[in-house]
Amino acid sequence: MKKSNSNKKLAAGLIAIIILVGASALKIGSFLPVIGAQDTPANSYLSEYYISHAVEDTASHNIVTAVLADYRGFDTLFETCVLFLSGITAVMILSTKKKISHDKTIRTINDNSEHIFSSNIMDAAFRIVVPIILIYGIYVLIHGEISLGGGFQAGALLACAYLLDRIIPSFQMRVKHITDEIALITAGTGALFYVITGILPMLNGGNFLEFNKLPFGSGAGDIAGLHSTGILMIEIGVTLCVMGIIITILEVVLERTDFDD
Amino acid sequence: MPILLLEGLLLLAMISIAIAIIFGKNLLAATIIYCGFSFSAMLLYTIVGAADVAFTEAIIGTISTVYFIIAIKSIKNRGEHDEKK
Amino acid sequence: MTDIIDRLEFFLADRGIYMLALILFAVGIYGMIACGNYMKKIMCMNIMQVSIIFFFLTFGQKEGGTLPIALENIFSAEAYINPVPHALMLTAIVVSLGTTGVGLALLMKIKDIYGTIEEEEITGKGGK
Repeated sequence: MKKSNSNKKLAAGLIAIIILVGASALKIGSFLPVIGAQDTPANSYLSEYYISHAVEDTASHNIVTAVLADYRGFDTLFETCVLFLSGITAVMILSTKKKISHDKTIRTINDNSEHIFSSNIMDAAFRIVVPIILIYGIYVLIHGEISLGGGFQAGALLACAYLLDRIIPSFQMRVKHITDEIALITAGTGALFYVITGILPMLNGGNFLEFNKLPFGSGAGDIAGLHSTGILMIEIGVTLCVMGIIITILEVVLERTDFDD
Repeated sequence: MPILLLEGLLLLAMISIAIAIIFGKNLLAATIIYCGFSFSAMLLYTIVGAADVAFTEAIIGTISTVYFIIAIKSIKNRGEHDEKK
Repeated sequence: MTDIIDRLEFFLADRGIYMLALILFAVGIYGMIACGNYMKKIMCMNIMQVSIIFFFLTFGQKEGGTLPIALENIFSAEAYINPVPHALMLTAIVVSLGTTGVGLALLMKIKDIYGTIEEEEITGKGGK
């Protein structure tokens, strides 16, 4: 009785909200720009410059990566710091003085395993997929300037490979078990690498994150090459940070879980 | 089929999936439906033309769903441990 | 028939898509307020995030534009869609994953202290 009453109140509230928001959006939607027009305020002034000058400034065909890592590199630095902060917060909330002792050793096949993932076929199939994901992740990182990809996708793919190997209980040695402290240190190293890429031009007489003055190679005329190197260093830093944070949150959440199936 | 019509239909489907998540009784079923919501969000981003964003959403969607499933399993295990004592 | 499709398309371009995106946002907020289970509140937070990211991406659409990857020797700004919203929303998606992780960590701590994740039981107990 109580459940169906609360369900009815939920449904009534939802319908009222939908009608209210729909009607008001119809009325006030007239000052938003028409979708698909060429001369909206968002499509003028700055994005035209980015589109026309991305290839000659940074030698990267992917305009989104050029905007993210070169023209707006300062914003990406602080987004990476926000990610690192979220990882530290998750570890701080769930850290406990007395460790919950459960079996971290390798499970054997006699281990009351009725769950479907402990069959041989699934294990072998997943074991083939994991190195392919790792290679694809590094490919996406390095080709971030030519086609789709970049630092965020590559870090998430590398962490996805580790996650796949960690969750499947197998009966042989698995990938080396990464603790949450090591993963957090990796994430911090990634953010530090990003900051070092910013500080290096300052030692050479430039501003923070000014890629024209990186001290690499012969800066005789190859300004676009210097920008390309700077973008690659930034992407490596972002990849390390994202991979570390995803593995950290995974380990911290998995430590309190007893997998007995 | 023109693009805006396709966007409109996909948005209607996403609204109904969101309503199904709110009214679902079983928590595990809501998580699986959330995985479907993430997938249709990725389709939506592809139709709009943002290919990088769609790639990222595909990966992050599966990782997020795995986090939810691990959390559900941990909460159920905690409940059993308390009841045994 | 094509007349109806044309009029529907024009309505969608003018304010229809914005209306649907805002309705999805409103459904997400309502789910966060009215759901009893804490895990569903986190899921509704992610629904809200998807709707906002989509709303932002519609400002970059252009008629006759292609993906923002530079082809050979075509550099005019009318041939590509706007790449600035894509770059901003890319980091927003990854930050939403971090927020979900922190939310789940808080959820497990609440389960440790109160023993349940239903909202009515927690506020009925009044805390320990």
